[in-house]
Amino acid sequence: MEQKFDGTPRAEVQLTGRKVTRGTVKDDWGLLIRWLIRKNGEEVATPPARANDSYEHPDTTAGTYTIVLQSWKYVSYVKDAKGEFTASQFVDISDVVSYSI
Amino acid sequence: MLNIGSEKLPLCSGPSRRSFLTAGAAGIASLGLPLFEKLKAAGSVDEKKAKIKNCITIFLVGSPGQLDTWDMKPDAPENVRGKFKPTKTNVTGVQICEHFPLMAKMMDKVALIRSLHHKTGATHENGQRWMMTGHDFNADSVKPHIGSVVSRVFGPKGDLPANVILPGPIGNTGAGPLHGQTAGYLGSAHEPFFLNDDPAKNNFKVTDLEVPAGESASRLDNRKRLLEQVDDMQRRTETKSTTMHDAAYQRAFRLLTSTEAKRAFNLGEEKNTVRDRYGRNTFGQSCLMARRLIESGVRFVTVNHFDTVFNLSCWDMHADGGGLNNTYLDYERMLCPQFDWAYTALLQDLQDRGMLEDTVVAVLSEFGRTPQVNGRGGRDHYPAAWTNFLAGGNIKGGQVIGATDKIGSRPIDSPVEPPQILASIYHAMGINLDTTMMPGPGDRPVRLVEAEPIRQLFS
Repeated sequence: MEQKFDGTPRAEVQLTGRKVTRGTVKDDWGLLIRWLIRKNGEEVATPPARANDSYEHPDTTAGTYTIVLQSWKYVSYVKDAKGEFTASQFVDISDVVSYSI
Repeated sequence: MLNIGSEKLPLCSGPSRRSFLTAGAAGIASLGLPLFEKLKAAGSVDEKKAKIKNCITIFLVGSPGQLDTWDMKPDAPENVRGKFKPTKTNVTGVQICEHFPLMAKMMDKVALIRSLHHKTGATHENGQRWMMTGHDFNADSVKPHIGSVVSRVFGPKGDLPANVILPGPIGNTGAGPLHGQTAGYLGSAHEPFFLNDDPAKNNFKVTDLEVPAGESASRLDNRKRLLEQVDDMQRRTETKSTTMHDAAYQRAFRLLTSTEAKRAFNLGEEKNTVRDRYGRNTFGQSCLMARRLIESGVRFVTVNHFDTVFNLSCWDMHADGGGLNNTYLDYERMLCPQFDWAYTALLQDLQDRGMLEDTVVAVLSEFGRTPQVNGRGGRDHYPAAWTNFLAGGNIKGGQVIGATDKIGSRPIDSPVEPPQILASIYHAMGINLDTTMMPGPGDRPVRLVEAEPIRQLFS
């Protein structure tokens, strides 16, 4: 039986200082959710977001930080020669928030 | 005395198991009725007093590696301990994989059994037969699914079948069709009811509960009466097989016309927040439906987490580069989170509704996976050691039973074999295995399973 993932997940996120907090994920696929943190446009961390709904990135060095909540989207198990998924991927499920230090 | 649940019931032939063997089964078989229904009809048992429990079994088709999930060995060499790290749980001294963070907060409800093993073969089907029936067997001696046994002993409550398997039967797992999810010699009246559809679909409906297009309810009723007349003629020349057929037919008709059944299967009655909490996927919505079915009177529900091991993300982590190319990435991004989310939702939901103490929740799989990571980064089949777990009912949570050696390759403490798990489930459901028999092949009374419950599981 083909695995079904109904709807499109979505969550509200709020930034207070450097701490980001998410609301309940609506239409939650129930797969891995994580924070994607970029510093000056480069990915620097992907901490899990399921067990705790808040995260504060520990890096306090100068720069512009953006944070978005992501969910794993399963399309198929197929992977390339390097072992990376070719169709399944992380997708954004919140707005992007940002702060500068 | 004969025990049904916690009730002691007088037997006409005397107090012993032996006397029941002599006299009890012939009566059961001759009437073709579930023992419990017979006794209840005779006023011999009060089901509420009997405290008969229910069971939800989650079957992890493909089988997770014990070293990557619930029996981690962080001090073992890298090619044994794998890529994941252990995390603390709310039970002191018990650690599980970091990718089950929500389960870690509910370990006080769960009893891990880390010393499971079997010796009959390393195919998925060997393990499925063991864990679904308490036996390994071939096509000549098909043994009944545990839910079918429960159906035979206690019968259905109301219009719903006693034994339901979601979302569908196990299909191709590599080595033949004997998966242990049939009623075997117990006959069609006790076959599991398979949903055969995906409850995560937007337009989900149970096909078997829909009156065919162009068919009115009254026309259906007329057809039923006509069929009953034909059956009545047939019954004059046949006996047992007709009885079995009747029971299956009556069950199908009850399902087709029952408002209660339609409601039980209707996930649309659940709040969106509840559906989200289980996960909007096939497995999560099946777990939610399992809770609804138990709440509506189904006694035994099995949720198959996947119906095959080929060409999809599943627990069968061979990393073979082809149709079995599951890896640590599948575990980390899909399988562990999906299980963690739905399983903890189910336990919490059952508890919030006051149902957990009456419902055993068993998480079972076929075998473990090889202690050494293979050359491609996966692990292969390994029936010599694995971990399963039970919760709910009168299971004492927050404990670990058994242990494996330093590399998770064999039990070194309290080894457990699959029939002991089934015996424990029966015991947890309130069934006394010494006094509750069922008719076996040729109507010979047989014990439900040839093993004793694991006493340590029970408080």
